[in-house]
Amino acid sequence: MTDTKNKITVTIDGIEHDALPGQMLIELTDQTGTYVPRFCYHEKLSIAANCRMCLVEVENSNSALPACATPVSDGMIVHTKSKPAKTAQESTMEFLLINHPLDCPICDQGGECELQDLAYAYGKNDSRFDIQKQTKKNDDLGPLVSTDMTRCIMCTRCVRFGTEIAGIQELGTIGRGESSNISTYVSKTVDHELSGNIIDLCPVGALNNKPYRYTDRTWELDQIESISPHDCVGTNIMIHKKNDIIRRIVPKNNPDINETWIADRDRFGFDGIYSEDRAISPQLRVNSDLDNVKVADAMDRSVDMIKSCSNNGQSIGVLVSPNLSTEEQYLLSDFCHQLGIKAIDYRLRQRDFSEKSDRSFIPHMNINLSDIDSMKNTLILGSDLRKETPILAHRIKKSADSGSSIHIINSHESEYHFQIGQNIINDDWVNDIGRVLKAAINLTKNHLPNNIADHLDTIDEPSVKHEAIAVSLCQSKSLIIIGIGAYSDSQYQIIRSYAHILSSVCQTNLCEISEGSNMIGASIHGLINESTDQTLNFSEIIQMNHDLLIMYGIEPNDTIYQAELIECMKSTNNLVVFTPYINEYFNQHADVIIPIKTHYEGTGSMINLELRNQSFNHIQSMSADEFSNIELLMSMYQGMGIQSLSVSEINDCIQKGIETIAITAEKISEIPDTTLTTFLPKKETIFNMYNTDNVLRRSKPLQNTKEGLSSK
Amino acid sequence: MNELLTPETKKEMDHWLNKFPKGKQRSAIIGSLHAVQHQNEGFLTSELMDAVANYLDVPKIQVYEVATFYSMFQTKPAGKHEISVCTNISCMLRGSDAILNHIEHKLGINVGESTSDGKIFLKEEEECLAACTGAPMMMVDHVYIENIDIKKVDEVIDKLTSKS
Amino acid sequence: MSKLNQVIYSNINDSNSWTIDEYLKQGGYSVWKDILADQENKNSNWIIEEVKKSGLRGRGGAGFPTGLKWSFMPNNDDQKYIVCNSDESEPGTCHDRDILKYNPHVLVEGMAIAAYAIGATVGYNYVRGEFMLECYPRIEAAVKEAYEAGLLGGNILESGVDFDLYNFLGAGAYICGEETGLLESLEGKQGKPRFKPPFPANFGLYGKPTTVNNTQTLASIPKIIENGSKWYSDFGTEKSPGTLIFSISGHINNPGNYELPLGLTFNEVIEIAGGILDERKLKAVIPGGSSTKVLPAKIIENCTMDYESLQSADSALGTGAMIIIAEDTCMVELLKRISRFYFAESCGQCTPCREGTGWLYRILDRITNGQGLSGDLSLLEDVAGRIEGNTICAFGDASAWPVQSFLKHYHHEFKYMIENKGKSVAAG
Repeated sequence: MTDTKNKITVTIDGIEHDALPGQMLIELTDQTGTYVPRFCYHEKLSIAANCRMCLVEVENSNSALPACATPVSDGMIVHTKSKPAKTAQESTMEFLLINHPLDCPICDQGGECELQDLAYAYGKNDSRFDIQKQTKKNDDLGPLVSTDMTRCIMCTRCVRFGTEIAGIQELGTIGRGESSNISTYVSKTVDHELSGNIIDLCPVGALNNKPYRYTDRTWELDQIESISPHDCVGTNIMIHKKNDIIRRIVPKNNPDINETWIADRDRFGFDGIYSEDRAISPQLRVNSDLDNVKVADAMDRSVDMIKSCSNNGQSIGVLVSPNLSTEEQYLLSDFCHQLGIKAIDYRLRQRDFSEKSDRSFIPHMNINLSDIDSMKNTLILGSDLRKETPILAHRIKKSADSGSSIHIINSHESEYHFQIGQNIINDDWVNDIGRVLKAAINLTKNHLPNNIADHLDTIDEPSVKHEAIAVSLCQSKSLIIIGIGAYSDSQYQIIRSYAHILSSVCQTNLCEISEGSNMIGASIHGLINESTDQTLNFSEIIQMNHDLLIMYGIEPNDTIYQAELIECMKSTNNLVVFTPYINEYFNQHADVIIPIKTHYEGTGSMINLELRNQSFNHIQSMSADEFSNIELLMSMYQGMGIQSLSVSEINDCIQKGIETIAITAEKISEIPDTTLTTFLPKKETIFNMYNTDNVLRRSKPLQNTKEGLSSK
Repeated sequence: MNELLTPETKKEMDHWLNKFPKGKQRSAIIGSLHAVQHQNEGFLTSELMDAVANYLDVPKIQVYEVATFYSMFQTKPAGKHEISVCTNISCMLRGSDAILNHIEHKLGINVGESTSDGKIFLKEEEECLAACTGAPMMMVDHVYIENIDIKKVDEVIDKLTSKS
Repeated sequence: MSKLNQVIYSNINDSNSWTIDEYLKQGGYSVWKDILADQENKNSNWIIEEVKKSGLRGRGGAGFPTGLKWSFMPNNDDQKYIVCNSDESEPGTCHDRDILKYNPHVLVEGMAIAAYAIGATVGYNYVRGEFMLECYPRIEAAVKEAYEAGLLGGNILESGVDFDLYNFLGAGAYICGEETGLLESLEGKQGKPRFKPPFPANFGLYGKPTTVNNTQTLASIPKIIENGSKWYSDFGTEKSPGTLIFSISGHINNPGNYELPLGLTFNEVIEIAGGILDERKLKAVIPGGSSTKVLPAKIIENCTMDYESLQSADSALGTGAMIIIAEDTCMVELLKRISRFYFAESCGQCTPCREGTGWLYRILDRITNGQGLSGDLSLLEDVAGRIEGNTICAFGDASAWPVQSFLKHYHHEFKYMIENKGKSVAAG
């Protein structure tokens, strides 16, 4: 719509500005720093023009015009603060307030309410409306969003959010006229993974953060920038805290990553850190009981256990969370490396380890998240994308809404709120990917190494559907996404090789969604020390008998190998757990329990799937007997008498690692031998978006949602 | 869910669906709600609205929005026969208020209510029914009756109440 | 009486006027057939020019020149729509109902010609829901007959021209008479008007170029094309050419729909309708549906019934729905009724109208209940003024104008009622 070629001139409050034809007046006033009051307008939503707060005077128009819905034209002369403009704005304000309750003192929005702010600027001191105010009915929208609909000013931002951003209409305007209200009509909970954003969108206190309700006045809160630790997207958040307690989390606008949105788990997940089963004191098993001890004692005991292991570290297993800061990951890997421990892994949800070389191809995406918006053809393989990475799924939806083709190949249906091109749902879906590859090779007449040609001879000929996907992918701006579903599939290696070769053949972009929030960070040490070929994988580690098993930041529920891990914990001679939480397995089997901080209580950096390195800093006053995770790890080094890298040295390594991944444009080019079998966990697991890490699992608001309850 | 809809209702819904381009089935919501309300003798229920959403393949909220916006749809239980007395300006000038009063007394209900036997719903009619030259007028089960007076109203209502 | 019913209503008293047989017998569809047979001469431009020359203006109330509106349609290959606004609901207005009931084929033919002129291949006729049994069956039957006669559908009469026509039934919402509210409703949504621009000619039904015309406007087309633009424009005055169907209701001896040339004097029109009811004295007239400003007898009696005269009297011709008000009528009660209507029918999307219409009604309500305050009249005027011009559609204005005009001309009645605790001047 916006034409960048022909610049035009618009005069706002006596100052001439260059403008773009087709631009709405409010975009121009925002750009040029002229504030025009508004409620319904939001840059990420369609124009509604219904609140009438942004009325301004435009010369030669016989009435005031809404800046949000008035396209600029050359020579337009606008007055935003003239008498007619002010009168129109004040009139709207008076109308908005006649039925709005005067309950600001008990309203959570107080202090950050757009209506309250503008009422001070544009409102009158007393009301001429001396008639009974109207009240409206409240709906129960579920555990995340509270409603006080009498405060609603019908701006419909939340309704437009549902249709345009979430892609599902959960809220609507019910009824008409003065008695109309925002409702789900028959009290349905709002179930979308991004639903909490309506709290931020609501300009008044009609939709509020339910767990946060009535807890604080917003002006008492301190604000800290941080990164959400619940998926690999690296969503930017603002942590609002009081007395070192997190009270709520809101989005931090980052146009390159999450724009103004965050997923519900980014917003409400933190509740899990206040769970009653936090590990408080270090503990040592004495006879059959766990006794509380000092940190130093627990650390000393752990070091002794490591030292007493025979065979130069070969009998020690280390299982690490993929959600830790890169610094922690690096120190842990380096610690093992120095001690010759080969049994270390962080890939809790990877099922198929049959291909050794996979550690040299670190899953990531080779374009930026914001590039997804403009992709024209996308193939999603083995993913519940909305649950795995809600923000990335939103970008895919944006591209779909602007007309791009989205194709899906998976073992089961997932719900998407956009038009799907080819949708292949099949038990034998891996074969379908091969058939798409075959179609692509036929199409591009690419010369292939014999290995691939021979393999393709063994699979079925492509159908029209497979050909359609291949044709689509061979166009410009195409993308292949490999989801967590594929990663956790028993044929992951073959899926991955198909996808990589398909990506090379069709020259598409490639996005591999990784588990946890910082799996790339976890891979850095192995990558730059070229130690990956010698290390063992998760499934190998849990099948071994260890003298000592160290678990760092994980619990059995975090992995798809849950039953096997529990067996491994039982069978090991010594079990040391570094954990923020206690659970029944630790109580039964751990010999040493060392409490650690969660992400929300720590400092460090994480690398998201587009290789963006972001730091987070949750400075919190710690008492004298508390240690940061880094301090704990350093004391392990000390105990073992080995040298650790300094923080700045680690940072250099991280930078080097990122560059190594980014520069290696190479993709997997061979199809693995399918006769090699790999150890498989005992049961299939369903991906539950509120059960992916130990913090989310303990977030009460999230566990009370439909998704949360479905895992019970 | 579709079993809540009778074959006649589905036929009527298909009739509406056929009037609109592919993918524009939302346009059939209004026609479908007329059909469903008719099937249910005068009002809509959540279940029926959900059935319409399901049959048309549109989000339920879209059906609720429409059902609660248009005055011809009743989302609360209402009597089987619907009487609307126009009281807009042309009818008011020709004595509609006295007629409405008479009907309220005769049926023992206020406008907006239904008789306890569920037979008659006296609809609150604020819109002009576009029969101003035949004022005062009323609409009974969608049939226009113009130039009414107390006598005519009595005849019509007596006939309705004697019907099943 | 020779002035009466010469264009749209010319056949209205004939038996079975609504059947295709009768319509064909009277020469119906000959214009449509002629156009299809001679597309080279009777092309889109020619038709639009004829309509422009005829001076036909939109009969839905706003009076926008029809030919000009048609010429706004883009000349491209996009799917285009013609939509007829048969959501007749402006209080006092009921003439489209008789077109649908007694002369539905003229509307079908008018829509077909309009579609051809603007390049639309699909048309929808939006009929108000309350007409479900009243006149919808007639127009639905007419469309069916026209299809059966091969006058609608694909490649009509081997002409290469396609036109599919469908009737739509609303469900009770005055706001759907606003053309973009109507389009929303046709799309199956709440009938909330869209902000403009974009206008329907660029972004209409399903986002495609669309022209929305009123029933009476479209029903005028066949005769205009058949007899020529001059024939039609000669009926009225120079500035208000043609005929208009006046719905005359209220305190009148022979209420009814009268199709009359524009420009007759008010008194001539009243005489045709049999004079004021029971020889009472005329007090006031709402000349063009309840949204137009009320005019006291002494003003309207000097008006001619056309666009210019009523505009210069600070009112409007509107839909031509003349609501006649005789002496002894309480103007406060009347305004309260009008305000109740706008309060009930406000769609609720924009703030001034959603909040303001209820405020206006509640002030009027307390005045009639004897609880009016001395400041209420200036408050009414002020609130009305704050709604006017500040809303997405003209509904806000329509709710304000009656308040402003009643207060302007009958201020003393309102004042009297406030001072006398609800007692009306009219009660004597």
